[in-house]
Amino acid sequence: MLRLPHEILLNILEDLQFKDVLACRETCRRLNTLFFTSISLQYRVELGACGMIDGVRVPPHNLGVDKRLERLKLHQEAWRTLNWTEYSGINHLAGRLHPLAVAGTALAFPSASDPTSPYICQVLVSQLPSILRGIEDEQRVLTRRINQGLVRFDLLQDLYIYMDMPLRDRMGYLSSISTDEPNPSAHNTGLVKLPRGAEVLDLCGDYTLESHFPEPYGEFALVRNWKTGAIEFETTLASPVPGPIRYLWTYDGCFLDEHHILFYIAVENDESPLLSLPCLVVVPFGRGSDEAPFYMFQLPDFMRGLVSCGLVLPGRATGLHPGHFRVDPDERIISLLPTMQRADGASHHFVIDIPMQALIVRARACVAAPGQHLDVPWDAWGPAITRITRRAAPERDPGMSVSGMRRISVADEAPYAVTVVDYHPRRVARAGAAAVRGACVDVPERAYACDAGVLRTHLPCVVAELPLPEGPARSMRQGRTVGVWLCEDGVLFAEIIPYVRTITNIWAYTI
Amino acid sequence: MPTIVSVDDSTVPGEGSSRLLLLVSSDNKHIVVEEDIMSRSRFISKQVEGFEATSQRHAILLPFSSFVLNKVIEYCSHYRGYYLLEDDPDAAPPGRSPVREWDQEFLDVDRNMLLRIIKAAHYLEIKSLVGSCARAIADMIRGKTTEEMREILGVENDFTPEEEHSPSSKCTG
Repeated sequence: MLRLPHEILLNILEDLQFKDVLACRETCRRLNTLFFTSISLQYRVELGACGMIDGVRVPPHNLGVDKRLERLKLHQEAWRTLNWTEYSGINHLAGRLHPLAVAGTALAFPSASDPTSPYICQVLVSQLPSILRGIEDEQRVLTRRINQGLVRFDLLQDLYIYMDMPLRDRMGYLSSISTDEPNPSAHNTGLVKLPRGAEVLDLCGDYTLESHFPEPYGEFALVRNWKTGAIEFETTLASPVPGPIRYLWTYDGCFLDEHHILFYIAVENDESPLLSLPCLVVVPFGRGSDEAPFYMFQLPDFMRGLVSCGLVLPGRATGLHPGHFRVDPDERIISLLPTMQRADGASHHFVIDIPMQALIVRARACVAAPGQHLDVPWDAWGPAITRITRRAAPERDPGMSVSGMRRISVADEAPYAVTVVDYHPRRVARAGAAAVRGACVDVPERAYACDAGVLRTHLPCVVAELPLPEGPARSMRQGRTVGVWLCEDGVLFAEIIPYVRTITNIWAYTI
Repeated sequence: MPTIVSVDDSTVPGEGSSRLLLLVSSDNKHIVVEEDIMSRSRFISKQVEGFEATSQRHAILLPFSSFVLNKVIEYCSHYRGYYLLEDDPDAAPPGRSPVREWDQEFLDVDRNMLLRIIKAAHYLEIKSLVGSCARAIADMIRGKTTEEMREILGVENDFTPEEEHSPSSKCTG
């Protein structure tokens, strides 16, 4: 084995999860030395230890790997020492409601409600600065008035996504599983309106979006870069679409160029609603499309540890329809049908596998095997989250900023779903990572910012109690409720007036 | 680098649309294969470019056995005419090699064979095959403990006990 050239060994190591890289490193001196010759490997291990995935919430790619590694280390150090910088860049918050969506360091607030409906509003998107990712703070009001329930951030944060629902028939369906009552008509082809008060908390998870090709384009997720305004679609996905990409953008569709359409699809099946795979599919159309290859990108899903990847499906593809996907929950694979016939008669079908980390599904639900222990943080941080936890967790003051970890032993009649309601993705990811290996993570009560550590690594477990800064502490003394949101690059405190649930003040502490 | 020997032109019919190549394995087996099939290999492509520059065609000597070579040819024949992103020298390399089901079956061989194939693929510069092999090897050691990995990789623990118990010193590397 060790007679293999360095490049091959590196190639193999690149295919391993960071935990395995660490274990591999400890086997012998040569592999250990090899590890330190590759900055990209070190970077990946450091990313894994931070619960991050390359391409998602990481230092910008235009920096060299060494710079990114350095920045990541600083970031980790700042989390260990809680060395935050006060930042109070969110202005004009008085009277605002709770954020519609929080993802990493971006928040969306409703603003300027429409007189006709409280659900139709403009959206203020606020981006906190991040040293790690090299971004400035920014606020932008999205000009379109949209249904606030439909606003999502995707996990890349730089994109906000909303789903538009023109009231036309036979255009696919939109269903929500985050409400208390399951929607009885979610699986017919009629357009289903969201029940009143339904909360949409997750782009990839809560919606099934179906669209038929090549019928008139109905409901798509419209993908739009809020930072730059609209039309261009920037992504860190490794795009195998050759040539320059030009984007035409229409009201009800997303065209890459005159020969390709971009679909956003989430694949689900009835038996396993927790398993969904968000993907972007680029489908050729027009002349010659029968022979053209089509492309499929798996969106990175940080919560489940899915990395972004591109799949090129060779030619002779017919129109793509979500019905062509088959989900096998036991095997955790998603197959793409129909099988494609090659000229020589051999048939192919394409399989996308979901890695084992898919145990962390949607960041709010974990499935564990029988006899495993699962430690999940169980208390909610933010008011936006408590609404979804109604069924599982006791009613709590939404602003209460106490978090704890509860050990859950999974009974033998597994798989047993456990609801995870902590927002912070790193914590959820780590609790999930520990659970995958059947291990336990203990975090004391009242730990605010905690880091469950990763087993079988030498990375220290960090548990810290966060001292309340002066501003939030004063509010507490005045009897106000203080809400806390942990985000990737810091922590946000908000002063909330109870009963009306309105934020009067917000403090951001970032790294 | 392999030795390139001159062969008589009649050995390698170079006319027509599907030109043929003569590959010679380390066990001295001569294998004739269509140039088109082997174009996935950057190494072979470069050789062919060399042929065209000098308008002289040679047999290509390869430092691995015919058994391995046949396996690689089987792979290349299967993907003949297919576009694979990793093999496109102009495309940005993808982060990880995609899973191809056929490859998984194809690489369902014992460990030694797998290592030989990956070496051959590396030599021939077939990135997609190297990627698939690396994935197969990675699958073997994924999720294993350090001890189990040593067994699979066939390596000795050559750390001193002190090093083993103070991982931080290893980290300073």
